[in-house]
Amino acid sequence: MAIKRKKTRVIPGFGLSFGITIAMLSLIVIIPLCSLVVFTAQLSFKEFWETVSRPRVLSSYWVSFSTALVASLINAVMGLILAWVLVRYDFPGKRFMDGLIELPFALPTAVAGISLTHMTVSTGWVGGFFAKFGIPIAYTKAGITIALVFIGIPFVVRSVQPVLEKIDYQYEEAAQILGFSHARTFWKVIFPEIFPALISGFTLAFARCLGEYGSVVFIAGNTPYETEITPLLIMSELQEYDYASATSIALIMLFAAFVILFINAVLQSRASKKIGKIA
Amino acid sequence: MADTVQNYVELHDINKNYGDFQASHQINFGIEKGKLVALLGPSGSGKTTILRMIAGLETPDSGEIKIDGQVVNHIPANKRGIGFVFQSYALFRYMTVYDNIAMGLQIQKVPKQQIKERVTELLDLVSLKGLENRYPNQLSGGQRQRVAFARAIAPNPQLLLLDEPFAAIDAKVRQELRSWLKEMIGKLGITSIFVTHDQDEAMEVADEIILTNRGRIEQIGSPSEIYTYPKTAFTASFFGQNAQLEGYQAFHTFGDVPGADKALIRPEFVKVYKLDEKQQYPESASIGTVEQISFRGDRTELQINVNGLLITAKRNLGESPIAVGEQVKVFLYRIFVLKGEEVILLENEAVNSNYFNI
Ligand SMILES: Nc1ncnc2c1ncn2[C@@H]1O[C@H](COP(=O)(O)OP(=O)(O)O)[C@@H](O)[C@H]1O
Ligand SMILES: [Mg+2]
Repeated sequence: MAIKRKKTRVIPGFGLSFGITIAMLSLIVIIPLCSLVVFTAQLSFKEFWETVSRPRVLSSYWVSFSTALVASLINAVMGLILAWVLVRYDFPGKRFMDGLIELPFALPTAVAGISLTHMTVSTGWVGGFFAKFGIPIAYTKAGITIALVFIGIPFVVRSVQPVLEKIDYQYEEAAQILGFSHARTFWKVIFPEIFPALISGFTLAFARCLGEYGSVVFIAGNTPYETEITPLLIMSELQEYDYASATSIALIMLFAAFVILFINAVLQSRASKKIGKIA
Repeated sequence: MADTVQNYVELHDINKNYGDFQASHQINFGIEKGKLVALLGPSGSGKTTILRMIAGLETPDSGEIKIDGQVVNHIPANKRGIGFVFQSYALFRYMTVYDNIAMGLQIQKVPKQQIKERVTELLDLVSLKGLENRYPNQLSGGQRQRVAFARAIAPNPQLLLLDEPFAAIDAKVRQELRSWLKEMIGKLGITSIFVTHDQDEAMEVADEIILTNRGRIEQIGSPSEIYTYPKTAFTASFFGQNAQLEGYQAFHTFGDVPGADKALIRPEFVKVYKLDEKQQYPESASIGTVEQISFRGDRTELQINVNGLLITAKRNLGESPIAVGEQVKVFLYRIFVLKGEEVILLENEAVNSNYFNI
């Protein structure tokens, strides 16, 4: 009864590979995260709560979340359009453009930060244009958002692209014969197919944007209560050797990341239920 | 002549190239209203291309397509009054069965109540009552096909196009679905064209067969016509379970065709006798050796070697059994002789002379 028969696997060595997986996960993810908790545990809950709910910290959450959210929303739309163009159209330089998508991954974030700042200050060629209308970009939340859009582009494009490639043309033709408008075909036929990928691209970008530091610090100006992001605050606590405070704030960010990924997982499983192989 | 019958669909001199590949070459045919027609041919012969041009999913390079007397070349797919069943059905995965069927009507702004009535009626028709809230992936292949069929006919199209409607279904259900579809289309009286590469399917289901080969039409006719009287070498060799052989003169009492390439022998042309069995035309039989016997349920199939030529014959279960290695008498009623693109039907002269002797 209680005997479980071992299934034979095609690729042997499950035990070994599972062990490696656990070891990697522990080394890279779990142990550092635990140390966060351990460091934070030096504080009482009251102290912890006071640290993470100081007004300056609270406004940094707001700056970080609002810019990350706006940037990821922009990325969701832009990334979708980019992926669409790359999959559905043929044009000269397509492969080059496709390769360019990964640039934000490859570029040191500081380089991105510096060049984006240079571009958007009131003497820069983009910032200069907007300055004429009295709209500053660098050293505002708009600037932070731009940096985050840049950082987040690959996530959405690379999530949506393969799914879009796999969509059979027959669906669109079926829709065409039934008289669907282009908009209806998109929303009723194509969008549901790419929605899970879009959500996962969006959440990955969002999570990444929340933690982004390198490219933002240059363009943000880092004015407390205005353009100070949470990762920067953590850095400054560290520079003051206040490890407990730094890890407390980090723990809040960690919690936020978990919530985001959890919401992602829920949306994914809801979407796959409909088309899951139940029968 | 073409004007004496009102054709519902007509193709005139249709040509279609993909790059420098000729997918359709000078396609001409007409289909009468209410007919169920098969576009039959080997894979890659251009059947789907023709169907897609009629649907408006593809544009011919030249030629005219008429539906109901109207040239439709520049009319978009959704204005042609057609329903289309795709090879892999292309059911919308994120919509329920109900929504899949209702979609075409919703777009035409049919009142909600009326949509509900129509969908219910269709669900009943295709025996899918109670499954309207399922998603396509929760259905079997046969059920999906019936949803695709219901979705295609929901807006009451005048012409139904089906691309390999049975290809994705396992053999057992396929047989049922064939008769089901034929019955259904007959009941609805809707002009229909279906694509298939399966000769049995075409002969069983269609009123008329259009045989394609390398982007051209080889022959058009009723199943019995096209099977019995092939007009081209390709048609003759496409149908039936042919044995092709050279040197047909080895078999007795067939006239000579100068310049013939080879001969085709279908199993039903062959009669096999045991050596001690009585035979009508003893002088024109040949002696052969049975090399292989395969059991086919209602009959057995024999591979017989006659002077080095291998032919297939059938024998009913009621007849006395024959063993492998046994010598038998083989009589051929008729053969097809191929000469270039031509095909010539030769009757065994023994039969003819006998006929005249009576
Ligand atoms: N969109 C296309 N682009 C290029 N070649 C095509 C296209 N569609 C079909 N073909 C070619 O045209 C030929 C006929 O195709 P098709 O009509 O699908 O054949 P069938 O349905 O008889 O198998 C095939 O050789 C196929 O490769
Ligand atoms: Mg085809």
